[in-house]
Amino acid sequence: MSLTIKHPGFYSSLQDTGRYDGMSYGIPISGAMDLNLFAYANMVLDNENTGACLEFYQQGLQVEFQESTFVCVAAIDAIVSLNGSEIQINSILKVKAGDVLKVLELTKGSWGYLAVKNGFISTLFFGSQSFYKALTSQQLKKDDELSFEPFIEMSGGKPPQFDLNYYDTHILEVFRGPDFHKLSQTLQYQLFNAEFSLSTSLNRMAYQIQETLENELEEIITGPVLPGTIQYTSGGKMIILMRDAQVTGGYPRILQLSEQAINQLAQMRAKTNLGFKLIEINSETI
Amino acid sequence: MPFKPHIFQYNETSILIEFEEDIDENLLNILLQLKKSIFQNNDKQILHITNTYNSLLVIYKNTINNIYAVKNEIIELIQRVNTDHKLEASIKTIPVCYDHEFGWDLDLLSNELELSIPEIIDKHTAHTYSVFFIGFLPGFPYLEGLDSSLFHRRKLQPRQKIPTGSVGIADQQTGIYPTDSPGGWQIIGRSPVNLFDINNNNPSFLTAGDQVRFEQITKDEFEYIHSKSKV
Repeated sequence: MSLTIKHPGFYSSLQDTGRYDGMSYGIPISGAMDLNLFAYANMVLDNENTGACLEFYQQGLQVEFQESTFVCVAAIDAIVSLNGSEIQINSILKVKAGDVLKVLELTKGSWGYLAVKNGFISTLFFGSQSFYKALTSQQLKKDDELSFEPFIEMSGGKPPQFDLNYYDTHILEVFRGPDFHKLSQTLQYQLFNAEFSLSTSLNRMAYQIQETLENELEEIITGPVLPGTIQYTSGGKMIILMRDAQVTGGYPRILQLSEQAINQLAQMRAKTNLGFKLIEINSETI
Repeated sequence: MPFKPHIFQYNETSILIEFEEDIDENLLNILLQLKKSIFQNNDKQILHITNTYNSLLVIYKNTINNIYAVKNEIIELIQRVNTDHKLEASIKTIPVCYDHEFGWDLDLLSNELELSIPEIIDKHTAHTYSVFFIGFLPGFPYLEGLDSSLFHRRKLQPRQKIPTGSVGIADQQTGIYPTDSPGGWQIIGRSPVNLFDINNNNPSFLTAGDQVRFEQITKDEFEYIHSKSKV
């Protein structure tokens, strides 16, 4: 035991870069919603880039440390306190037994990461510590305990610069999805020229787009999907699959977000306006 | 080459191979052989390969820089697939209780399909099914081989909670819910077998390529197996 959850906040969980070997058993890939920010949190502490972090949503997380270590709270922008005094995010922070860290609010973005020196320790399932309800608990609860190796050596230096421009866009880069070619010219045009917005239905499985487009496609025979796949439902809704998405799906896969776009989208909030920009990687229409 | 699938770059690190052939055991055999040969040919660079009814998804560890080279490699492997060679399949029997308490939609299917309930059970237990893949939920098998007289569309309004072990029918498919889940399948019975157990080396009772038969059991037998599997 090295840290106790005093208040879990929302959707708090341990996440790393996810698991692929469970896919053939129907287990989602999972992993940090924003892998860019996650990687940065580990980089600040000079951790391995796959070190498990505590991922949290919006506000309310409160933890008490039982051991000394160095931590980094990574966020696009946030108000965070240690023992009641506001601290700097995206920097190296020393903590000792009895210290209480509070995330009062993410003032920008949706997901933040608490990294500890050398990462949290927990059971690996298919090579990953990421929470997923069929394998681990679904999310952290009050009084849950997390382990890490205490670290008392010196640490310091200037943390690497965090590139905030990465998130300064409302245009998401997409590739054509496997079923894109089935859309009419009009719909294809609309996808890249209309402005959309995020609905309030946002979670680790999927982010839903508010606007609907008149659907003209049949469902497909169940096929592979990935995080970042945009499914086009029979009702004309667009569902953007996120890290905990099922590994297969029966809705036409019309677009696929780039890795960067998944991270950018993850940090967008409900009602944010967004658009799609086509990037060519597909050499052949399916 | 007898078949010419579409090879499509899905994202920075993944390739989708989609076949147009009819979905049957022959295609499953091709998919599984190809899955194996693609992996063996390049196991250092491949993270994972999954298959569905007519597709393979190949996920590489790194960004694909030369899609043409990857494509040519895959096309070459496709040409070498031996359609006469059958992969060995294990046959697994899954006990199912078709009691009214579990088979919530037996009456509905009986009316709409114009079959008696014993006829539905006979047709469901008479066939051997192929496990094409596991998806939707951890351990959920997509089975092929349902008797065409049992085809029935899903519920228009999915149920909030289908209990673990429920056996259902959706269009041309039959399957089993490995955990409680919302779902729209027509439920005809329940199995006491645990389809997904993370404590097992292979956590999914079924894997792609397995053969499955359903065996009718009584409610007492159901309760007995169920109580045993919990210990």
